[in-house]
Amino acid sequence: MRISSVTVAALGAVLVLVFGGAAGPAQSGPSCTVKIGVATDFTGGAALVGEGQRKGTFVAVEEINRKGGAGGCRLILAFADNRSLPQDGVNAVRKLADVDQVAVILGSAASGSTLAAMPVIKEIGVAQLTETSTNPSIFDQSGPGRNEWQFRFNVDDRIMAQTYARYIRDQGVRTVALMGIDNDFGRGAIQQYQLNFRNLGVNVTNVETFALGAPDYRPLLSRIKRDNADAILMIILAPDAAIMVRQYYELGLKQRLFARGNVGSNEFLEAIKDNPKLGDGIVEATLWTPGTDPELDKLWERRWGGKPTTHGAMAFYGVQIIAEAVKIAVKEGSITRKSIRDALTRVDFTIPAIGRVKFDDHHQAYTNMVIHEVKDGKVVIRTKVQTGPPTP
Amino acid sequence: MDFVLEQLVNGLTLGSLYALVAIGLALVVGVLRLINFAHGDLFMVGGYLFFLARLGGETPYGVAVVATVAGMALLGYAFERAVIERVLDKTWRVQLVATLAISIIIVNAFIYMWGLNPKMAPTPLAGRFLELGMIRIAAQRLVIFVVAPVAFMAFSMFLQRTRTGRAMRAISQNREACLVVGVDPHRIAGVTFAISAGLAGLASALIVPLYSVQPLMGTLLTFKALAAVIMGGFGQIKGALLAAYVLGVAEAMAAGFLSSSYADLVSFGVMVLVLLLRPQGLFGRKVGI
Repeated sequence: MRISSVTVAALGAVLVLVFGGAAGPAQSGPSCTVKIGVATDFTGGAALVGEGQRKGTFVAVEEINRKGGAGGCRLILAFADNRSLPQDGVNAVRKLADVDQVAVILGSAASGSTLAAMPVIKEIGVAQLTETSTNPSIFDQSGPGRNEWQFRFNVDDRIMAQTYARYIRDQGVRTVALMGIDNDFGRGAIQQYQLNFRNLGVNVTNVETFALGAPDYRPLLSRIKRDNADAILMIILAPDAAIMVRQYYELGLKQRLFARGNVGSNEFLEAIKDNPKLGDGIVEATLWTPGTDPELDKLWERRWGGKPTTHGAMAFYGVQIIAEAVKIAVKEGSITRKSIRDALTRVDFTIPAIGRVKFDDHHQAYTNMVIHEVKDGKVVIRTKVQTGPPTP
Repeated sequence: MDFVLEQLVNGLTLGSLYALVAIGLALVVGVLRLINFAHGDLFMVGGYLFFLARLGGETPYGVAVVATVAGMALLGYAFERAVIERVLDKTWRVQLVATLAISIIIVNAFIYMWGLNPKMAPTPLAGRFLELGMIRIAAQRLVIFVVAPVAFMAFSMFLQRTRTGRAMRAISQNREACLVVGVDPHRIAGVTFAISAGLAGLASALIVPLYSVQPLMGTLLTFKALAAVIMGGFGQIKGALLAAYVLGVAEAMAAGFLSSSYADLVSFGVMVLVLLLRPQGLFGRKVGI
């Protein structure tokens, strides 16, 4: 079948009217609706992260809508899968902005996807609020004069490493092996810890990377065992960590275990519940500790059963921050992508579980950093650190 | 020296993992000339079956293994009847799309049913460690080292000495001639898939106690197993087995002596090198055109 140029032109005109003509992605007014796009990893090696975020955003949106919405606006959700990959990160935000016509985007968990999507959100003109990506480049590239559409409320690995590396040194560690996921999150964190440990006089004996979801860590751990560092700092997600610690004990390693990621999480505790002792003594620097938000625990249990995941909790707070921005935009009289972006710069409120949310000129908020320890199948907070801008 | 031995053990462990998955894949390629891209997902389904069969540790390990292998063999037979039979005479493109589609459906169905949090199904042997000189190893790994070659030998004997095994080899050599002498290719296809899935089930039952079960576990393994099948000589079971161990040892040595970042580079580099030197694979026959 041949399609004439007239048909193509007509079809194009219809598409322009349907999508291009819809200048406002959300309608303001007494019964307005704001669509939030969630770009995260629903498939791929970190799919557990995306599943948690989907659940967290649902819980938050349902609760906000039950209480009358954000400034009277009903929140709805649209999702897109970025598979933790940069190229899919771009596709996901394009789909959310162009097809779903969202007003604002929450995401992504994976640093690589966030970084890849940043030029696209700037080009389209839609704000993206990032909740768990920890690559420091996001900080460097965000804010007025850089990318004024990008916001992040979790602290990054440059900020965390400045405190956590010192903490590890103060535990008597003089030599350390670094192992991390071979992606922007893992490599970015490794770079920061190498730098900080060098400045603190801690010798880094090994730098090892592994594929997300790798089945076997024995070759890598054997190397670490041979080089005999005092401690291992692993930049890792819960499912991989649950396998890694088993092989750590199998090989008879004695190094103290420090972590970055979501090892002190409900998902890790679930994965080692056959032998909770496996997690004993692992100390981790992270963004959120399970059990610190009874209200979220209750809502999650009621909606999904079980306990919230770390990324699910952060997505839950992300929706709360967006709702706060929507309230400000409603007060100021219009809800557009730009007004929500502008409102995000004026958000200033405190979420008890994570701390104060106020964005600086890098569009970075300085929520708490937590250092906690896994002990007897529970996660115990050792210290909560009020963070600030990275020191040069 | 101890470090070399330890990396060798690590390599053989990885090799066993790849070999157990690759044998079933090579069998289907050899007999039916079809690449089953859902094979790694059958391994994953076997993992869940084993997890269920263990009943949280209530069922003895041996019983759970037998139940998993039997269940997977039945499932493999049903899979062949429901899907493969319909595409067996079609072009490779149709077969590729069909098996890839099944892979996607299986993975997503399991994500929907089980979620993505990994399930653990440890055995007492997985938590018992043996000291062999300077090398420490879980007893479960020794079970894998022993059972994998034994399973392979039993399977070879089946192919050599039974009527069905000979019919499978005959089909792999000349399908048309088999039709002439009365071998039923549909029955053989069903049996081939039952054995292939049964082997995937055995692989799961041996390996899952050391690792975990989650819906995406088969995806990476399919590619590693496929690399072993290609390197071994397309459809050559002995070749796939040897290639799987070569890949496993190459990966472990690369991780041990270079860096874990180079593990995949070295293992796939070895594959490319083998194919450059022997384009027909380790055990493949030269074909003239």
